[in-house]
Amino acid sequence: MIRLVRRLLLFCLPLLLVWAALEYRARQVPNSYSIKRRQVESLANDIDTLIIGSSSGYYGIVPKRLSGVAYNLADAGETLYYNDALAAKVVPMLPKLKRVVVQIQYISLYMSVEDGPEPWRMYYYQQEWAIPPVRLKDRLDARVFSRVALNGPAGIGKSLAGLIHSQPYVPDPIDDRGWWGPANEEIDPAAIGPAGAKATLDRHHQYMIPALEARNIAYLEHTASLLRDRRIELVFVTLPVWRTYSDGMNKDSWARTQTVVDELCKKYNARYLSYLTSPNFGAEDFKDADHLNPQGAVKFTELLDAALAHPGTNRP
Amino acid sequence: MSFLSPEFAVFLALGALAFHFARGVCRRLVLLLLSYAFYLTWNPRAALLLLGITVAVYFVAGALEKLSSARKKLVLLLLSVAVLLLLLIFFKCAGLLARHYLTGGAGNALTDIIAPIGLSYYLFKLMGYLLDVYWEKIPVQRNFLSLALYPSFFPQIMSGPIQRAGDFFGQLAQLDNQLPDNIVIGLRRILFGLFKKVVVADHISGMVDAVHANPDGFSPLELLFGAYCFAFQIYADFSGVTDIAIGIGLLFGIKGPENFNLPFWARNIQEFWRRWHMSLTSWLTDYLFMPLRFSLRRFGEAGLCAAIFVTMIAVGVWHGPRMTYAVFGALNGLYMAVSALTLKKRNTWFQKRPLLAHVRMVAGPLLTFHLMVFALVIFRADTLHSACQYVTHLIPGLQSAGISTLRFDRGLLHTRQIALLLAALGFAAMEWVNWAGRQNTWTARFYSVPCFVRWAAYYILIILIACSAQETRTFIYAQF
Repeated sequence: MIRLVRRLLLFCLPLLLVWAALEYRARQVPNSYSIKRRQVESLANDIDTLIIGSSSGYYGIVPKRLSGVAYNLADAGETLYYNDALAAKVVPMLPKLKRVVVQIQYISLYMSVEDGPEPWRMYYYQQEWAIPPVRLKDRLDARVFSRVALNGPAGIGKSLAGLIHSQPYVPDPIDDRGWWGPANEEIDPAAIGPAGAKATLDRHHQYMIPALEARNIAYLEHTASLLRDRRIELVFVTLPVWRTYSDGMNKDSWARTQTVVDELCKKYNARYLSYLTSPNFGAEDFKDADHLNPQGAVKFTELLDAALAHPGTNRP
Repeated sequence: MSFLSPEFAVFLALGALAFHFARGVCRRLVLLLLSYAFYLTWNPRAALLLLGITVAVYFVAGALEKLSSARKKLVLLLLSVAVLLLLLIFFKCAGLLARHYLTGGAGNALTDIIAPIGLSYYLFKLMGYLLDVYWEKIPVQRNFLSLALYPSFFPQIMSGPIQRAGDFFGQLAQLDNQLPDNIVIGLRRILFGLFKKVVVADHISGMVDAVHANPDGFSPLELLFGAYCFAFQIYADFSGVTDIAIGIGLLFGIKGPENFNLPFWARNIQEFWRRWHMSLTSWLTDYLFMPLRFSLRRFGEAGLCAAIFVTMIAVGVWHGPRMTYAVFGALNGLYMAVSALTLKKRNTWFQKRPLLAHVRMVAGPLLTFHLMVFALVIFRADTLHSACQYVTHLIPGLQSAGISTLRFDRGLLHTRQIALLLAALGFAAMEWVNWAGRQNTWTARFYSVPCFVRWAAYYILIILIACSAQETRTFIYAQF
């Protein structure tokens, strides 16, 4: 038996070495999480406004158009659990931080990454930010520990090809303040049309779980109390969506979300700026039914900056 | 936790270490703990159900041994088998209804609770155990640990094979005499099984899914290709998971039964079913066909046909309460009945014509293969309607969308040339290894080549598996 074990170890050794080399190379490949982590760390002493949220905030708020030094930490598919965990990690690192903008959207109270369409994201939060997945069984997943397992063979091949050709693989065009902003993005009319909006809403409704509401409110409360304790202003923001999307929203769910946010504002002395159906935005400002394009993002950020400058502004 | 996941590899390595450090009864305890830990990762409530059923079967088997009245024994046996069958029917139907009415066709946590994974496999094992005890083929298993391990044995719970109780308990008694060679053979089987699944089956699965999702949108040639591909896919997938199960079992000193023996080379349909899903068909032959045949013997050939039909429909509906499975079973019953009734006459006819007998050697497997490809089209379809659609569109000229008969668009089939080539070469290699593994000369040749050549072959397999792995693919037979 000892001979067998020796032979097995000898057989596995080259495989382990190849695995280790792949793991090392894979971890050199940047992704939106690692890029944002490094940017926040390098700007830590200057940031006075922090934006957290999901794709709507990531695409729709341009930090450079806000007064002071703002940083957009929002990312696609980010739920309130990760908003809260990131705030808990990052806020203590930022000595000049005065304000945190928390983006709230239609699906915020009813989504989780683990039950959503892109559960792989939770492993990036673990690997880049040391934020563990919510469920125990996900904490034991190989993707928590291994980037090779997380990327899969196709991802590794792509990443290695990028490295071999000395072209850093950047998944998103991210500027130095964390905003997603492609220089030229073609407008796709179908994406904001009724069919596009219905497809998006159907997908959202498929993943909205009413039972998650209490848990997500608790995360919001935790973020709010963290900021109150540190005397940092909390502003909830809802970004505009195109009317094809807002018309198809479940009115009760949205009303409930607004009530919850209003109650939190009262309890924690926060503000809520909702631009959901703002008349200032036309079809030309959207990349799809529920996301602003770069032009719309600039327009929105300027409105937001003006509102933030007036402490009394609530529910414009 | 799937056999294909990295965490299962860690679980297996740690489990094998714990098993080999343990001795005596502790080995069985380690195996039971591993089995339940594995099952709990799928569904904790289903593990409770499995435990409950095992406890009930333990006491029923004990009562079967103690009862002195033959009539009471029979009543108890029939009652317990009926309860197990009803449980199977209830959970299968409830799962289907929940999937259909509560979740709109998509699975979720609720449907997982209602249709526990591996139910068909472990209920058949336990039914077989009770029947064997009743027929006094095996003694009652008094050790609860051993009995609990039998249905829950983790390599076999997800997709079989369905091992007989006598064989399992016999090997369980010899657990301390584990040979290092078995571990090497086991690891090789696991590697080969992964190759079949990941390199062969998964490379053609996208194409099969595409043609079955919308038969209207494909040409007869594409549909024919899809039909062939599904036959190869299900064979590679199912024989792959069987190899993995047998390989894992060998790491723990238990050799599971073989499930496949080159089925696509079978000369007739009876032979096909003796080579395909052998553990299920032999189970049904012993516990259903033979008793039926015996009780219907006075009806002659009609009785034989009835026994064949009932058995083959049972093979079909064992997969689930779907009309396509029932029709698949009935169609195979028809094939079998015709083949069984004409076999003697055909043999006599061909014996008198030696030249044609040579043609028969080639035509027999080809015909059998195509009959099964046709039956598998029905098996794979979601509904009878889509099966009919698929079959009618296979016939040139009946395609309503005006697609040319010989069109072959790889883009529409969601496949790439390299994937097809890899799958084809992989399938050829798989069949060659399956064949060579049964020839002593080839096995001896393999062992006589230098170690580094064998290792090079293993490394190539590992690289092919790693480069082909896809995250979302599961085993086809895990759903049954």
